[in-house]
Formats: sequence, C-alpha cells, structure tokens
Amino acid sequence: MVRPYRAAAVAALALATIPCLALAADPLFSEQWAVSDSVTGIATAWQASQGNGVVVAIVDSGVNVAHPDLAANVWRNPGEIPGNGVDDEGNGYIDDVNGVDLTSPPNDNEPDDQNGHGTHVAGIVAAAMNGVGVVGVAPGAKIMAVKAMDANGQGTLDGIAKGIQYAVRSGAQIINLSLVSPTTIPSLTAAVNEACAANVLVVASAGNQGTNNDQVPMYPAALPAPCVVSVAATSPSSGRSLASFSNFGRLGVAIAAPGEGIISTAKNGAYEHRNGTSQAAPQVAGVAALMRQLAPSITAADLRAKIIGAAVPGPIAVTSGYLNALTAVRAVGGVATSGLGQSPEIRVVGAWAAKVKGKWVDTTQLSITGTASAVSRVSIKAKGAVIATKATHGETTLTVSAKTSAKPAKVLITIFGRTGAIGTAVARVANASGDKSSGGPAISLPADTVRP
Amino acid sequence: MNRRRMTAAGTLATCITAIAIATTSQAAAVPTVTISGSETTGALVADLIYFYRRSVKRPPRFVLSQGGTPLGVSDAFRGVSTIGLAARDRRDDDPAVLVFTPVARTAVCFATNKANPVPTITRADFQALAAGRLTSWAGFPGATSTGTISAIGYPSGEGAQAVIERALLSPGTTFDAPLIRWQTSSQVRRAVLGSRNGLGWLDFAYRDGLNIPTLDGVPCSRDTIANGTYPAKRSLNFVTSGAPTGAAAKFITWTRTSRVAKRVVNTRYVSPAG
Repeated sequence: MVRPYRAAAVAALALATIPCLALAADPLFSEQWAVSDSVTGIATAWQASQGNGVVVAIVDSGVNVAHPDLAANVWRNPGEIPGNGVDDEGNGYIDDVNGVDLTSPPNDNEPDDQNGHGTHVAGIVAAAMNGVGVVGVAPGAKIMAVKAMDANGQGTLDGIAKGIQYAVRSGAQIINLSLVSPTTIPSLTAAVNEACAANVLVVASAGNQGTNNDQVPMYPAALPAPCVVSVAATSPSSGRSLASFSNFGRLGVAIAAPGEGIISTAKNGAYEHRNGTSQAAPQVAGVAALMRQLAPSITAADLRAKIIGAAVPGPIAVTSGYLNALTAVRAVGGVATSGLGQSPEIRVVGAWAAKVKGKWVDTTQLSITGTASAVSRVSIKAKGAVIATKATHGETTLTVSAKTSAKPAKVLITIFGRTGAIGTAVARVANASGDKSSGGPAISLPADTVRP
Repeated sequence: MNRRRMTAAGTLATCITAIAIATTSQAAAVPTVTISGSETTGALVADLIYFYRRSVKRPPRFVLSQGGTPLGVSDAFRGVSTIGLAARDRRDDDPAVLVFTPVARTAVCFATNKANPVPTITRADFQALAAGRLTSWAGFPGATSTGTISAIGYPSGEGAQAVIERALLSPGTTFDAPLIRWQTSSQVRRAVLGSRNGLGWLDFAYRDGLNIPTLDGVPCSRDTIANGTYPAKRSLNFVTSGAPTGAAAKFITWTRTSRVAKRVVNTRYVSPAG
C-alpha cells in the first residue's frame, strides 16, 4: 500500500511509550499505582460504576482482542456477521466485527495489533476485573478497536479522521486518541466536530516532547472543540508531579493523569510497563466511561466540564489539575457522598494473608470516609469465629491483623457504632507475595462498601 | 504527494459546499452562545439566561457547561467557548487578549455551625489557624464548642481559597495547617452544617442556614461588598477573547444594563451597577 504523505502528515504515536518490562499474567493489581485511591480515587469510584457497557473506541495500532484480560470486554458489532465477506450493515466495511482496520486493503478488518501500543492503551481503559492480570479503569466498558496506525506506530491524519468517523458512526460513546501530530488537516477537525455533534467525548494525549503546548500546539489535543479533553502525564512517586517527558500548558492541556510506569496488557498476551501521555489519556477515557454509565444522556461538553471541574488543583502547568475519578463520578452519579456529617462508609482496601515464621498472619486494611467518629469498633471474622477486634477513635484508615492456623478464603468485617453493628462487608483474602519483610503483600481487588 | 493535493482539493470543494449550505440556512439560524467555566458564576448566569430569553425577541441558543474558572479562562482563550466564566478578577498571568467583564460582586464569608455562634473571626485568628497555632475552640470568644477546630476550605490555587488567602495571609504564605478541602462552596456549606466544630469559608450566596462571623468586625453583607469594606471580596466575570461581539455582546450588555438583570444579580450578589 502506498502512503505518499506519511512523512508530511504523519500522526506519530506518542512514542515515548517505552516498553519497560514484560510480566507474567498473574494478579498485578498491586503494581497498578495509578489505580490507587490515594492517586485518583478510582478504586472507590468502582463502588458506584465500572463503566458497564459503555463503548470506548481505541483509535490506535489495533488491539489484541484475544488477550485474556481484554477478550471479555471487546465490542461486538451487532450488525455484522463474522467471516461472511459481506458488509452486512452497509457501513462500508466488510466483517468489521470488533472494529476496523484502516491500514490494510479492503476485506481485512481484523484490527490486530502488530505494534503493541493499542493493546496497552485498551488495557488501561478496560482490562477486565477477572482475577487475572491487571484491572482497567473501567473494567466493565467495551473496547472498540479502530486500527489506524501500522506496525511502526505510523499513520496518517486522514486515517485518524476516518477512524474517528467510524467510531462515531458505529456507536462509540468515548474515543481515545493516544497519538499526536504537530499539524492538523480539515478532515481531522471535521471528524472531531462530528464526534462533538454526536455527543462523543474525545480524549487526546498532550504529547511526549516535554514542551509547552500553549506555544507549540499538538493535535488533535489542541483542536478547539467542546468535546475534546487533552491530557498530560504524571509520574508515580505521588502522582503529583508531571512526568519529565510530558507536554504541558496552562491553557492548552486540560488535565493530568498517571502516565509513567503504567502496567497494562501487551500484544503477546502478557503484560508490560509503558510510559507516556499515551498512557495518561486512557485513564481519563476510563473515568469518562464510569461517568457515562451513571449518566447515559449527559452531553459530551458536560462530561468534559465535570471531569475537568473535578480535578484536584496543584502546582502543575495544566488548566485544571490532577484527575480525580471519585469526585468526577460523584458529580454525575447522584451517588452517596462522604464527608463531615455523612454516614460513615467503610471500604476494604485489601485483605491478605502471609505466612510468617510458620504462622499465617491475616491482615485487613480498611478506610473510613464520612463521620469516622461514628464508628467505635471493627471486628474481623473468619470461618465463623472472631479473629480480631479493634477499637477506633476517629481514624480514617485502619489495619487489623490476626494470627490464624490456616489461611481463610474470606473474612467478614463488621463495623460497630455506639449502639451496635451498623454494617458488614466480605473481603476475599489474597495470598501475600511473600513475607512482608521481603516484598510486601499482594493487595486484593477492592471489596464492598458498607453503608449502615 | 498527489494524494495530498487531491485531498486538499477535495476538502476545498467540500468546504465550499458547506459554506453554501450554511448561507442558505442563515436566515432561519439561531446563533449559539457557548459558555463554560466557574460553577459559582454559572449558577448566576443560568438564572440570567432564563430571564434574558424571556426579555428579548429571538434570543440566541445558549449551551452552558461548567468545569471551573481555569477551564472558563482556557476555553475563552482557545475559542472553545464564546464566553468563559471566572469566579475571580483578572490576574497578571492571564493572556492579554482576554477581556474580563464583571457580572457580579461577591465575597468569601467565614461560616460556623449555628450551634457554635462565633461572632467574629479576625485576620490574626485566620493567620494563627493557617499556621497551626490555633487548633481548638476552647476559650475562643463566643464559641460554645470546645473541640478541635475543623477547618474546611478548598484546594490551593483557584477560587475561594485563593481569595481568602490573598486577603488575609501575608504575601507568599499559604494555609499549611490541616484543612478539609472540598471543591465547591455548596460542599463546604454542607460540611459546616454537619459539623459543630467546623470553620469554613464559602461564597456569599451559600451562607444560608449557617452562622456567619464578621471578619475583623466587618459583616459579610451586601452593604460591605457594595461599599468595598469587606476584605475578602471578588468579582464574578465573563471572559471573552477580545471585546465580546454578536449575540454574546448583546447578552453581556443586557446583564449589565437591564433592570431585570440587576434584580436577578441582586438576589444572590451585588450588581456591578450597584
């Protein structure tokens, strides 16, 4: 295939996404610093929404749709009969079952990923919460794979525009564009405007040149449209510093999200770490999916405004601040808020067991929001017997440990107010990765919120 | 290269067609004014839009979203919105092209729970609170609570937090003591309503149901906002890239000249027109 203007109108993938480490496909939640309540509040936001059924288009290098952490969440085109060589729904693409391939000749619409970039981005958005590998920001969302970049991470702006159009016309509600170009063309602007008109939110990475987008704009992030959110990347130490490679701009980059040291799905079916604003944009796209599940009729402009308005301000050169998933989800969900004067909520941060000097030590970590002073005691039961109790004195985080003869599969947590039990939760107990002194525990997936 | 030229030519043809269609339908088209930014300002502007649409013939279509003052400033500058909304005055680092037009004058008031009817907060009290030297209501003049003071404000940087810090702290000083930080005045109001030990600061329009101490003896009132004596004051502003034009200009002018608009503004704040 001839690509005559690749060099001129190239949309280079934000290629500071440097593969760092390939990992085996076992539970990796503890390595997902970005999916931590202390950074964005995503884990707590899952209590309200997991983005179930919201379609997120990944316009990228394709997606390994057979990846064990993605397969269950791959979008299925309801109008297309697989493999019959016919454009069943008449959209101009034959056999576009899970998405489309805009880089190859007609009749091949397998959006397979020969680069790995798109698969990694897809996992950040919607890797399944299935007990293996990683968890996406919106583990219930559906991934529409729109392949517009080739094996080298190269594509054309026209191809990106076609990809956006395909996504909009195929029913995507959110489009992730982890790609940048120093130039734009009218068809790209038109495609983004079509997305806005169709109420589709477009999330775009700011770029990895470490430069100021207010002075040197990068597209499509810089397109002045009310449905476009541009995203800078933060680094993992606290999630509160811009990554050194990240572009920025107080006026031209809307928000910052975790984008360095991000573990996600790899094209070979395993997992790998990458860095880049390419990894930051899908964090925002995932949060948008959580919000869209709760507010399906929200306009794209409102969705954008609420994501940006919920950001935590900080001393970084972006318009708003740091992505705050919990506040954003609360802003659309009408879900229970927590804080002073609110009934206490207890969230299980993690429950795990580790063998220490021949004995099992079970540890349960809890966080209390709302009026923590209304909680007076916490008890932990395993196999019908109380293994630990702890009096509380207004703390907002608690760690309760107990020695047991065997590792329990689950624990029952009961919280008590001054007049008796006010709620319970059950948490699955994970295997610790080893003695705490030699590596730390593997934290289980978040469990239930308890409301009196 | 051929493909690029062909694409450009095709695009030009498409553009000409689109312009022709737009021109044909121009007579019937209703202009759209897009507005985004500060929640506090947005609540007032939503009311103003309601009355404007009933006060003029053939009003424009308004699309109002919020997202905070920084987004309002950014959207106005980048042309994403016709009008940005800012809950602050112009800053030195705002782009020179931006024009701030006041829609209301307001203030950031201190607030305590009515069960703890503190009559006055002084500048020295706030500085001590910010530095962690004032931590308890015990012995505080007029306080009926004796517990630990729960300071309730906002993240650093924008909005009411910046206004109160700029008005009451020394230059370069920020609030370093423990502070429960919420995003909006309505959240702070709810927090203070639920906390006997709370001491919050919030926008003037959100003070209902709370005890509002004076600041250095100056009440947080319409009179003191209007005469400029209340220290922690601010303007709510429209922000446009250059002087407003077209339907946006007509609307902004109406908000500043109409008696209806003045009444609407004065139900919440103080009109710039007095």
